[in-house]
Amino acid sequence: MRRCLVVVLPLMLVSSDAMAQVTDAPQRVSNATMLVVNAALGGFTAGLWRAAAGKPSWTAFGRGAAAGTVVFAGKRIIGEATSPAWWFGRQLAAVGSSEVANAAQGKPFLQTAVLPLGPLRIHIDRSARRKVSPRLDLASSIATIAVASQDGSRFAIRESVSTGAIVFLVPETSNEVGRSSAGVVTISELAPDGKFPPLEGKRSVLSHEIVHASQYDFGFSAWGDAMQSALAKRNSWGRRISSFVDINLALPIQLGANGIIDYEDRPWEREAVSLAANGR
Amino acid sequence: MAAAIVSCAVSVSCLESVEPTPESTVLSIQPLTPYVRGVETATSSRFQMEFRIRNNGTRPVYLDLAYRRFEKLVDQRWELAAETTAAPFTAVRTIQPGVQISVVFSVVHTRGSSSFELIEHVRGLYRARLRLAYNPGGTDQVPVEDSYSRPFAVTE
Repeated sequence: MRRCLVVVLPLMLVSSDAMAQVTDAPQRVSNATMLVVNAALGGFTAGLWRAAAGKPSWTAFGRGAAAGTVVFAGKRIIGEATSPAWWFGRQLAAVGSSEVANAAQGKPFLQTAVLPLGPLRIHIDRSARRKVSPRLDLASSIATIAVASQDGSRFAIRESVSTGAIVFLVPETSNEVGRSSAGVVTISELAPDGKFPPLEGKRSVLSHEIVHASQYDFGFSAWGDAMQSALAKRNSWGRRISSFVDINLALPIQLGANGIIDYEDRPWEREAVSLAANGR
Repeated sequence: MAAAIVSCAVSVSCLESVEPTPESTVLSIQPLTPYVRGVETATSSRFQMEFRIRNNGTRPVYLDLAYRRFEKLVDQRWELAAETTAAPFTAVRTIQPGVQISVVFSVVHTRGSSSFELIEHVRGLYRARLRLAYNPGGTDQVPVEDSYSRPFAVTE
């Protein structure tokens, strides 16, 4: 039980919220700023991994930056707040995140890709003998169980099919209208599907949380998956586990970042608020 | 098989819309503002809203001042949030044809009491249902679909 709590509590803390109170909402940023930040994040991620491997990093930086713009394009599409936009946008951003990882590891263009599908991650490797291998995302699975066991929480099949993420409807007891924990989304059952300002509409909340899911995908593909692969190479048990299960080793980084930055000041919240506002 | 899966996915992928509120041709019941601020304290939660009621018909309409029913949107469906239990049409207000009146209705929920639990957390989308009749005694009531207000939001 204690071990379970040790795993679940960080997941709850690492989650990102969409808050109802406009006065407390993070300030919006322009599309141009978000584009530059995403490109820089992709570039630095790829460049750092190459530099750590003792390889020239400028080419990786360029590829990573280009892939970062694709990640932003995907998230921008998510902000359009329709079912095809949520699906296509998240997958496009996931392809961009995967390409950052390819650049980081010096692999050819789009050699590997990791696509999220509910609690699964579909690993595609064009050079591998087994080109497609689905794996269970451990963090998402634990988050799903934790949310499903909350009082009053119920699985939202329409919202889940519409977005491709696991979505739960939950009773609203505070000013929190949405939450994303390891790609698992909860949304207030009071959120109306329509424009009733100043209430935040359901589509806007979903867009906000799917942007967070996409940010989680980036952390997973660009950092966590690479860390897991590096560890698996040194350990036979690690290799076996990695064939079926994804452990997002970047989660503690996200946890730490959420812990030290106030909600209104978090860059990922500002991005989600800004992109969700695009579709209103 | 694939087509069946795709068509099944498409059929459930549409988000459910807000349950519609009936449109009335005889009466127009409009909240004065699209939203009001509700109050939540340690002991109670409450809000009040002013409505403008216009009689677009040709006969006088009588409003039961003691009655109000508020419904709150939960998972895109309207659910009963609060309703008064006073005897019907003990206090009435006449609305002549072509005339508009204003009334203020408030809702108070005491925390911990079993009634009106949906208002305990006051934020949300609401609509009011009033009781109106074509005679002062309330025996000839207007159809239910003519007695709904437009939806309005309550914030914190």
